[in-house]
Amino acid sequence: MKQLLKYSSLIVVLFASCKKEEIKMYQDAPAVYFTTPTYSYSFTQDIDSSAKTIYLPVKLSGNKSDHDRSFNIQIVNDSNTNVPSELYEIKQGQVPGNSFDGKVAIVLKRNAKVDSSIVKLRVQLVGSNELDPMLSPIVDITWTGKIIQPSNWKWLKYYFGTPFSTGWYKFMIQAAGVSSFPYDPTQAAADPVTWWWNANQVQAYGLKVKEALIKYNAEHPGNEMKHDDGTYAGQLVTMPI
Amino acid sequence: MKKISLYILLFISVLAVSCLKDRSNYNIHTPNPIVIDTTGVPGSYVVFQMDTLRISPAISKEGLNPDNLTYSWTMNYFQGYKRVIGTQKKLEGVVTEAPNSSAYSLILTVTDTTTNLKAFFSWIVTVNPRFGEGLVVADTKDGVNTDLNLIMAYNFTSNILYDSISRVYKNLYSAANGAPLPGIVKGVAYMNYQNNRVLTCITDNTITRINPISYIYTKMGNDNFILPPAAISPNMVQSVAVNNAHEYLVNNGKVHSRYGTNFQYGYAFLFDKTDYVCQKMCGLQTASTNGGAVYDEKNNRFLLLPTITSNSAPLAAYPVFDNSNPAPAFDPSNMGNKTCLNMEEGYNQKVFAVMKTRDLDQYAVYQLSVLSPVNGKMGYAVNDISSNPEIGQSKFYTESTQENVLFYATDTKVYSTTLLTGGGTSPLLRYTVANGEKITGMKMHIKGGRMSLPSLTAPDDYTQRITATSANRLLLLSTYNESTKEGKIIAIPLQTLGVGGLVTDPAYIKTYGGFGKITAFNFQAP
Repeated sequence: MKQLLKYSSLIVVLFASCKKEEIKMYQDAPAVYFTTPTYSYSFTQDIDSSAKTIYLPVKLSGNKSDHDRSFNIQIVNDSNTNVPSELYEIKQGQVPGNSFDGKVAIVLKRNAKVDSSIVKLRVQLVGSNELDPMLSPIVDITWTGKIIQPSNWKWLKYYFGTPFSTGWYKFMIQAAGVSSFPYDPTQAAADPVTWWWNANQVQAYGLKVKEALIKYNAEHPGNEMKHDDGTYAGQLVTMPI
Repeated sequence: MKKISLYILLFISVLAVSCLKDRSNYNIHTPNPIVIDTTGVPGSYVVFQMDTLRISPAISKEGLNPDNLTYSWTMNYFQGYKRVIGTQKKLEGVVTEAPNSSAYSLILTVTDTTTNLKAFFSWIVTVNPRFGEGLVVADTKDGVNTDLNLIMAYNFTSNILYDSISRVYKNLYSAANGAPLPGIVKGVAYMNYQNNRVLTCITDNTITRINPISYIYTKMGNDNFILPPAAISPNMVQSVAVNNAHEYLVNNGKVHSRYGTNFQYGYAFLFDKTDYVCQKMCGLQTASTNGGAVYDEKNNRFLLLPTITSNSAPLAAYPVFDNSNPAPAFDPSNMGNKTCLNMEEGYNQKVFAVMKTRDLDQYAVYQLSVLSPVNGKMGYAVNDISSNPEIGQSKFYTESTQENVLFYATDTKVYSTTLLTGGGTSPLLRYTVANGEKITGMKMHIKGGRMSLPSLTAPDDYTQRITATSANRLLLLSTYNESTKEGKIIAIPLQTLGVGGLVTDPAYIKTYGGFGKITAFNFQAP
């Protein structure tokens, strides 16, 4: 009888081992993070406007969802924020369904103080019940009515040179006949309206500026174009293209 | 207990028996196979899009009523593409498939409906664009407007394997767009970058981009540029089609380029503060160190083009002249009071520039290096052709990359002149057009097609002719007869390399007629 039970048990085990089991998929708490630590905007890019909606891009960590998911950001009231609340509006962020990319809108406003100084705002991801904040949860935003180094200079420097100065940027805008150089492939996905140039366009405008620089330097021998302020003040302007 | 053991063993036995493989061979009936006999049927086909494909294999099955067979002809391609093109025993189906660089598989499936037994056979089918590889011919009938035509023939179309087959599509542009191109087209270029194909036509004040598959125009004027130039005043357009496809345009004295899938020209190539004015340039078909050269009419110098992958880089001056032994033939940066009549790629990857002293009847061919080594010795050779017959009446110039020879043409004659080491030349009259005809253009064909040449052992026996590729071996002339108002393309094979020996036996010279006055022509590749 014991033998019988032993062999019967073995048969049962053999049958049990054939049971189909669902493969467990990786699951992680979905979260979002900023893809840029800073964002700067100058109203010189749209001289007549009183407000500008910018979009901070975020990336999703974890699985995509079949529906839109929202998240929130809040201001950080420390020394990195010096702007009154009436000069900005923070919107709710969203990661669309079936996407790893999301964005959050912030309306930047303008007054006399903005035109004469650089105001700054630090924002922080706080997430939502669907999306947690992670990794890089902070962005420092600056805006002004003055000429400042634009947030996409990290791309423009490959065409216009690494050093940035007010005089050089004024020259660039004037020579190109544009109010801004809206080229930033990393931000284009989140805000294609603002960042609508492609590489061919920025290259073409870069060459137009370079042509003007060659002409300027030829007409001003001994007094060629130099950076007028910033770290590189006094250095000759050169372009990598 | 024994009973229980018995039941369990019995149960296990039943389970085991159910798994036993049936190895018996009773009651098996082998049906007769379906036979698809393709004797005499080619294994592959080359068709043009919208052609009707006809195939008629013999199909049999012993002992079966043919009514019980069904047929399915399907066109198949990558990524699961499948379309039924016919359901009858004999295929007669229109090929609507898009032209692709890879061939389609045509699969015939024959099914016996009584047994579901199937038989298969497959063919390779290459689909060419209806307006595929060939020679684009721009002509005018009224002296005001231009139309485009396409010759697809053995000479220009690699997939046409027989000399006797040719298709000439007339008035393609006006048929596709409702009206001819305004103005007289003076230059045509074709470019295909990763199956993004475009034709570019220029007149004195227009630039028109055309889809060569449909001949519908896609861009005009300033739309061709990322940033509109100061004026639309094109001088010439040239494509580089052999390697790393791209295109150059000389407009309003400046050189522009385009590369990749962006169909707009970028900003003009820049130079230093002395500026430049260009009318002629040449991009090498297989460039490396530099893309080619341009001639600066304002400062009488040649300048180097950057490679196309660095097309935001400026033009570069030739390095400082180095006259040390062995001395170069000339200084490309200091050409004196000369204008450039023609620039093209010639022998040994040199740029051949036909130059004329502006206020004198002095002509010379200058050979420039543009590739490594980039040094002060890039003025490779000069051949004075001032004493050549009728050089003062010359209007058209061209050369092959396979020989050190310049062809020049007057209104009625074509001369070759061998460019000898040391600066001499050896001119010879090679061809004279028929009475009443005038030459309106001349160019060496550089891409696509084949030609026939006399056999080396039996040159007088046309049946023993040999075949060679046309590229850089086929001289093309366009002619016009004012009386008959007919324009022609005359294709003359280059029989003897090294001396510009054009074939003289008329059997090898192909003429394509029925055009208006031909104003430009150019290859159209696949």
